[in-house]
Amino acid sequence: MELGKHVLDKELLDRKGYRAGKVDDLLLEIPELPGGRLAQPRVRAIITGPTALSRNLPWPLPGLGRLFQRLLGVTCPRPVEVAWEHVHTIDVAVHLDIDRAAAGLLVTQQAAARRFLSRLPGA
Amino acid sequence: MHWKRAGGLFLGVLTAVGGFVDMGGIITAAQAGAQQRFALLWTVVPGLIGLTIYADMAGRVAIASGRTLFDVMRDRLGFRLALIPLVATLLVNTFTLVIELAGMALALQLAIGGAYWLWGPLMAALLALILWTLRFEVLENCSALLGLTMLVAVVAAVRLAPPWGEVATELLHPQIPSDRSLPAYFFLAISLLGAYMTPYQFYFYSSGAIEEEWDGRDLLVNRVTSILGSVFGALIVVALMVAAALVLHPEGTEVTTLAEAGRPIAQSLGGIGWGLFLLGAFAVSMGAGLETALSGAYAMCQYCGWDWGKRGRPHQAPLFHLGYLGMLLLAAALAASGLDPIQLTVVTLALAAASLPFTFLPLLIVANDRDYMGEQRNTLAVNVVAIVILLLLGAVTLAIFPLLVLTGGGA
Repeated sequence: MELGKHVLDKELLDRKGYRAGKVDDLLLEIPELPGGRLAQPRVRAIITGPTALSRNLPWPLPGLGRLFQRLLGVTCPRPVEVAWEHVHTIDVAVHLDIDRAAAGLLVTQQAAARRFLSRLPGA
Repeated sequence: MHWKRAGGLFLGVLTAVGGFVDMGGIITAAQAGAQQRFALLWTVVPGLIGLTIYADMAGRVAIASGRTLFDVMRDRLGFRLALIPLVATLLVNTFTLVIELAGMALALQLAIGGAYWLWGPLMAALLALILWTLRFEVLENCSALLGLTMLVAVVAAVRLAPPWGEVATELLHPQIPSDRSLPAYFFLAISLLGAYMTPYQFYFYSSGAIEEEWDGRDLLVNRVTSILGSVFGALIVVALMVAAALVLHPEGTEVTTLAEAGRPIAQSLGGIGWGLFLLGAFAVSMGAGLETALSGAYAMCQYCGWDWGKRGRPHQAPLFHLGYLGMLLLAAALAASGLDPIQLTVVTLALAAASLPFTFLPLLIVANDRDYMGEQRNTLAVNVVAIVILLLLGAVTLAIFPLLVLTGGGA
């Protein structure tokens, strides 16, 4: 499978089919074999969230990305990792077998809802 | 056909009319008639074909893959390249929103008086309230129905008894005028293309198809609505241009206000025509304003993978709702800052046309991708026409900055 074409930038859906972000980055592991040679890289985790996205973009976007999240009420913006074991299937989206809120995939949205929407009537 | 689908067809047509004609369309069409007489009528033909074929594609991609336009654009282009259409769309959308707010504000000012700088922000507040409280279908349908009053332009144009033979010739066999400034001619032609095919329409259409849960049976409805609606819209644009050519061109008037854009209709039909024109201008601006604000929020959320949609309550898609509120706030500030909305219109729409290839090219690629489309892939005929339109717009993208300098922004 070509990771760039078939995994990266696809939408994440949680076990109930709710939107859970994008595959913003991948965490690869290259195990060392006995004798110092390197084995084939393996995908350890999907990395997602605004910080994961913006840190790969040119200056000044990484800083702006963190600032944006702080404005929305995220106290400590950082990328979220989802272990590769939780990937159920991949088609036009990446389907996970976990719950999006429990896996911390809604941090930014929940913070924004708390900081801004809770003050508006009818939210 | 199920009654709900028939209803969907009717409303889809109305919506597409609203898509083709908005404040930008009214101003540029009247300006084109006043400045170039019938010489730019031909732009309606590529505009109509381009809008129809790419809107149909956006709807088809949404139905076949269940994914929206920006979602597949990010998937295909990657996060770096997809940032270009995202930034371009958000910029063009914000300025389009300023134009639509100006359309509502100027129509109200002409109808009941008051200050423009006050009406602009008030209209932004009205749009925010509508988006916050009303359901998707309601807000889509209200403005579409009211917008039909713009058909008054067709009656007005017919009553002015234009030379039909000449209109038909300029529509189908255009000649580049030899006696006028070419940069101004091409700049206005590009603005017109941008007015017919403003980028927000494609994001709105694709997201709307997902919001309304279209499926395979809606494909035909999708096609008929995008064609019929655009034809009605094109009719209104042609009428506005013809009326302006007959009334404003002989006087050498340039369209610098909404009142001037409507004067040919008032001259043809009197007070009733004037009233209907103002109502229509208000309604199409409101409809386009709602769609523009939503479309910016759709694009942002679909690029980032956040929850979006008008279906649930705001707290279920917080960044989507904050997104359009933020855009409205920014647009209101710009509207109140004293930017000349008419001058802004011509420049914004030219930039909109120049940014279209960034939307159309990925859409065309995805619409040919078997993984996404299955049996609904583009046919050869569709691809040929789509590529011709894309090449035309590619030339526009290359020409826009030299033309901006040469014409001083179309002034």
